[in-house]
Amino acid sequence: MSEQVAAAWRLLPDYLSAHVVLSACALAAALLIGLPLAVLAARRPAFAWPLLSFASLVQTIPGLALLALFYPLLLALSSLSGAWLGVTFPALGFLPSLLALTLYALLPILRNGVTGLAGVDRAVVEAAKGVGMTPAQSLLKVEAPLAAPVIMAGVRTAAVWTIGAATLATPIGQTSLGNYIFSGLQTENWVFVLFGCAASAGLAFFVDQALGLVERGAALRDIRRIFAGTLFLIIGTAFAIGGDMRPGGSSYTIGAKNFSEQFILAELMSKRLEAEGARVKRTEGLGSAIAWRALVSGEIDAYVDYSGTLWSNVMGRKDVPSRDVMLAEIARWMKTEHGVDVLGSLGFENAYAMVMKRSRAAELKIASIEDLSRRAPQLVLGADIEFLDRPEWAALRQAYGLDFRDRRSFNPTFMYRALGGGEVDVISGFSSDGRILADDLLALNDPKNAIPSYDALILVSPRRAQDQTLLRALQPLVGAIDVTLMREANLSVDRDADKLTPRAAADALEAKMKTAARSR
Amino acid sequence: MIEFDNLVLSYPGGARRALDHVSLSIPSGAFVALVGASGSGKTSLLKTINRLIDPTSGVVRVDGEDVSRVPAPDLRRRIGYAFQGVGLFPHMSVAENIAVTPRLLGWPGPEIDARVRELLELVDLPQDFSARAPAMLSGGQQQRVGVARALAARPSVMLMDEPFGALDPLTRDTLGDAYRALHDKLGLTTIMVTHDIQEAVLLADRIIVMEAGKPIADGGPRTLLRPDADPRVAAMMDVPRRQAARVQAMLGAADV
Repeated sequence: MSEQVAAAWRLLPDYLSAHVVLSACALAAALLIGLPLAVLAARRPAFAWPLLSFASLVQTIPGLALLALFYPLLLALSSLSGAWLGVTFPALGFLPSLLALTLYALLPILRNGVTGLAGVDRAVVEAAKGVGMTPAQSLLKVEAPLAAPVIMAGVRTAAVWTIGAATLATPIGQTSLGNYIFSGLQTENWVFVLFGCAASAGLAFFVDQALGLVERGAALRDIRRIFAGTLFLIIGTAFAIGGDMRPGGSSYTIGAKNFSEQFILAELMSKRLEAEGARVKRTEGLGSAIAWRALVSGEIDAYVDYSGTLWSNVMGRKDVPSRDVMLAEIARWMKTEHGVDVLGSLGFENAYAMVMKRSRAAELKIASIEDLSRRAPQLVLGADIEFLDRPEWAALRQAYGLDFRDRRSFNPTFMYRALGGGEVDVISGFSSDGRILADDLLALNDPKNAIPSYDALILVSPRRAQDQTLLRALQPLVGAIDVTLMREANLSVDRDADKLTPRAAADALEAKMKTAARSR
Repeated sequence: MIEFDNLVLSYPGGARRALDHVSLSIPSGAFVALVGASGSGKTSLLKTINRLIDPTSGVVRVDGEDVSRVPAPDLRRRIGYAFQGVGLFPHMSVAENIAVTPRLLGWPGPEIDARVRELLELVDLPQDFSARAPAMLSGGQQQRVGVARALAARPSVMLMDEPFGALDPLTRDTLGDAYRALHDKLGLTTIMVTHDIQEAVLLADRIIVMEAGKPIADGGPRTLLRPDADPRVAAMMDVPRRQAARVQAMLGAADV
């Protein structure tokens, strides 16, 4: 437990500073956009309804979806502006997070801005006109100061929402305190989940209190309170950002998709780069397609992906050739089409597999997917969130005519729980998963070879193709991890008792790799 | 000198005109009361002078200058304006409220401070009120500050829209007399909207009765009080006379 907490503390400067910078920028942008719009809406009520309706509509979109939607939007815009103006911008990470959070923060600022300005005593506004103030003077000298407490209350709400919602930036490649939560959820590391929640709640509390001081100062017209609150915010921001100002060499970014094995491998690659003296950032919890795009555009420098995923999802191939042919074709295609280098296979496969409890499979006399297809109409399938949309599932259905009584989607961790609890009979598991060992599960045979092979491959972004530090660090990993080593490492992170952090699992894995290499 | 030349004010979709071809001339130094029922156009007429309302057609001139050619804020800094709502700025002290127009005009600091002291004396408020917040004052004191604020930049014209309407009768009476004295002392031109005929009769030199956007009577209080006036005017002017008679009768009865 204390080891987990210590591990979480070590990551705090990195996550907190990214979280603070993102939240502060989003809030500042929302203020810059929202306040003038609020003035406009207060002056011309015709604008108020459409503006507030739009802001409310944005608020009804779930935060995660809003953040995720900016990825394809920016991708399209970036390719448009690339074609017309020769300027492209990143569709992942900071920019989409900033835009989504800014939109999110807009509602309370707009609503309280309009309410505050409309609530200023009409007699006072008439007096401002009567004494000869211009509309701008009336706004700045009279209406804004009088509406300030209500406006500040809106800013407070916006700040708390933004800090909370910023944890959702992790899946679109922006580091935040959400990294604790998302990686913790994937690896069932509840210490991490709690730590992430507590950190973002603590941050929100601090900012809320400081802004509360400013709000109170605005209401009492007490300049000292306003000053003190502002000072707290500035010092807090500087402290949070300053914590990450560590010296280091050139900076690398290692990507990871959203499951334990990816976290461990990202840590392993990061460790090796750090051993070469490099400074490494991790961009974790990425969706499959997002990770690939990020690699091609150079937003991440390297990550591990699987041959079958690349073959069907990225390359859009429907045929299933032999493993060697597939690997050679992938390497050729990646290099010629996108300049991406396939450094090599780590030495194990993480294929999709139809997985059942061994006892249940025996009871139903199922050993292969062929057998499964006869029983499927009585059974419930549990799938991870991506699987049912993937070509592998289509291929499986086509090859075996699988037709289940019901299908449910889970995140990978809860999917295994559901299988253990009997809520589902079959799951779309992964062949390198440690839980296959631990839970005494059976991966069903695929006699028709419907599922392509899934060798774990290290991919290197085009801009790092000639980077000797990166190549020196990662080359030794090729062929060094067999499926048992990977399953053990995965299990050490996924199990309930004596759970390791991905970092500790990577340490253990590296040590075992060395032993294995010596005994060879 | 304030002139209204064929002033028309109509609102889109409005069935009748708020001001219907009004032409009037008010000489400098006059104290004019605008009276009439609600919706008669008296407040609209007043507000065309400092362009809180712009007429649909027609011209308003102050000292010979067409007000529509002057930027509204500049015009308003030259014309005092006090109204029933008072509208003191609650986030500013009494002194800051009074100083607001001189500040807008960029007066030097010491001159503003001296002017604030002078005005507090003029409206009969103690000097130690200057640091108070408006919320700490009574209604009558607030309107005194309102009048001081309106007079701060030494305007020659004062516009007053039912300035004492929300005050209790005693305060209203005191403030009315005090203002009339200021008007004479400073040589102001005052136009005051009121629905209180008695107040108009007691304070003004000239009363203009408005109805349906037009003046229907215009003259000194004595002229309008004559029984041969227009019957609508006579009915209106009869109110203070009857009240006075009744009060007199009751006082007489009490003496017995």
